[in-house]
Amino acid sequence: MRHRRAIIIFALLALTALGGCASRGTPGTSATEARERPPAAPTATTMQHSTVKVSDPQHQWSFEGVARQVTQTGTAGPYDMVDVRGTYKKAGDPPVHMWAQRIRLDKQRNTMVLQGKVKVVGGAVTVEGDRIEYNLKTGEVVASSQTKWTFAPGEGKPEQMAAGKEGKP
Amino acid sequence: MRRRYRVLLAALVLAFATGAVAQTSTTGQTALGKVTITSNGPMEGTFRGTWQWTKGVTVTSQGLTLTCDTLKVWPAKSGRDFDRVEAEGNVKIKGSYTASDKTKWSVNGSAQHAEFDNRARVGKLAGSVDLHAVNQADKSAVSAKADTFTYNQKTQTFRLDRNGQPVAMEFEPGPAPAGGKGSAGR
Repeated sequence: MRHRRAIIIFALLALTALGGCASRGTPGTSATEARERPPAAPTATTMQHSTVKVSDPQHQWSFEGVARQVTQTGTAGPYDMVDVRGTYKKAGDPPVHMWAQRIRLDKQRNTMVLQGKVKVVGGAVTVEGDRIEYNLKTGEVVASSQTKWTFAPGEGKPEQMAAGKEGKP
Repeated sequence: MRRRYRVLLAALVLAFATGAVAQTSTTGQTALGKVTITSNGPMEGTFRGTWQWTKGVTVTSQGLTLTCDTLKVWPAKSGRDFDRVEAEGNVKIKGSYTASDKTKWSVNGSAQHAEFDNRARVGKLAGSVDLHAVNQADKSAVSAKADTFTYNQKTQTFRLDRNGQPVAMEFEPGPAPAGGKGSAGR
């Protein structure tokens, strides 16, 4: 009797184990499995004290900068930069130099968001504020309220980059 | 003396109309130096195109402050000057102004609209125009109230209009010095 009971318990345990294996099965074998499996996260690469060079495939714009930290998500960005100084160049326009605590550049969306002690210099115009959004394709700028815009004719020379470059793209 | 007041008032109009941005001397150089603009709303523009501020704008330059509801600026292609400036809504100016002859004036003025076309060299104020300036040295004053005030920098002529009719500006000579001969404004 005791022996028979043990066999029955063992059988039940075996059936339970087999049912769990069946529910896992092989990848893609059922719609339920596809829904349950989370999408693979894009690979993020972080580099310290790095130079960033990003350009538009149609060569309509380019950005080159130096940052204390750069995180690139996926093979084509976006790029998250910390403590950045860089230069944005739109085809046909003079270069625009910029400094910020954080910059997020999304090449696929043609956008760049600068945050934290932002300073952007283009010719005789200097823009300083907390947040500035750039449309990299059109060069349009949208800045938050209380952004300071200064026009100083005769003082329009951009600050030299530490490396000695004048912000070449 | 009256001509001096006219020149001053015209210069103030330029400073007023442009928010002290695009005033130029006969040589075409921007006369008022650095200009700073901030706003309560977002700022939008491009470094090679127009800039626009909304929801309350403050423009400061060398002792003069202009406030308005919205401001739009068209930079010149050279990037060293402006083609056009437009200030709209509750335009007010206050501060001190040093004229070309080095005299200092305290300025107070208002209008609904101000604009300056740097290419045509024409400045305009419109809508309940009210200007008042006091010479800090002799306390003489010049003032004007009109519907529109237009100044042509090329011809150095200006015009005040109210209800379609020309309006004259008012001069107030300063108080005569004690014990001396008074000098009335001409």
